[in-house]
Amino acid sequence: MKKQAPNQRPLAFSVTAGAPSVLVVLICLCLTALSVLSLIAAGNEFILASRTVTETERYYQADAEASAILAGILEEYRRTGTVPSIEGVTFARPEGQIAANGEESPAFLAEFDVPCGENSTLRCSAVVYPDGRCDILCWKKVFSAEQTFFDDSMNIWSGE
Amino acid sequence: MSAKGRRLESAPFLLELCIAILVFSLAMGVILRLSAAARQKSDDASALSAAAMAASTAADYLRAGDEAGFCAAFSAERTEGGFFARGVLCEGEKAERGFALSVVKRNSGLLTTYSIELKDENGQALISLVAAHVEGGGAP
Repeated sequence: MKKQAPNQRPLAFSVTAGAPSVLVVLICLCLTALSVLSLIAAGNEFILASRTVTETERYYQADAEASAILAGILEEYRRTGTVPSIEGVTFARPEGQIAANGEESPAFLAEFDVPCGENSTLRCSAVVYPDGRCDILCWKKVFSAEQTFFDDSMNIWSGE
Repeated sequence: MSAKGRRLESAPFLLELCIAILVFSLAMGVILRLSAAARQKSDDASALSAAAMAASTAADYLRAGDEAGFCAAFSAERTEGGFFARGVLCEGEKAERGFALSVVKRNSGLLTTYSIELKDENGQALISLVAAHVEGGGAP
């Protein structure tokens, strides 16, 4: 049997020492990173859902306000027979609305905007008839002109 | 090598292994808590999205004046001041939970206003909307 030299130490312990610690630290680091990432993703998902709820609430609030304005116009016109004067509402005669006897139709066009959040409004226009009926021509959420959501143009230097 | 010498050499290794196991279990405790929090947050987000969808569907039925359609869609019953319905959000999913939808109806001339509130099974309000219906209004 070969004898070990007196200054040589056995390699068994020096190779394995520290290996489990390194492995554990690496595993823990990876798992922690994954957990934190999933928590961040879930947090973002929750923020998005909250924004959806806020926007939905704003839209229906604006819709209810617009409906109240329209109901006010209809009631006033049916009661008095005259075009009502309401702040923020513009009234006009709709084009092509001629009655059967050739006279101008008593119907009129009412247009108004209701704020719906920071950068958008609910644009409404309806033809109102004297019998308290109305035809809704436009009832949609529009973004304000200042908002530049979709401006994805690149600013490239074109020389002096 | 003698038996005593082998014992002396393996002692630090065993000590390191014990510390590694201790650190690993502590770390796993923290990781499991993080994962559970992420899961809870994700479930809450799913429930909130489903609540927004359900409430806006209810609002669309009511603003169109289709109370019968609303009652049929949500199995709602008429109460003294409006409607009440119970249901399940995220049905068949991990985030499944019950909800209670209450609607308060107010009439004023041509305008009918509905205040819709959707709460989860713990009584926490998830979303509240206002829908309004105008008698005589309609699309061209």
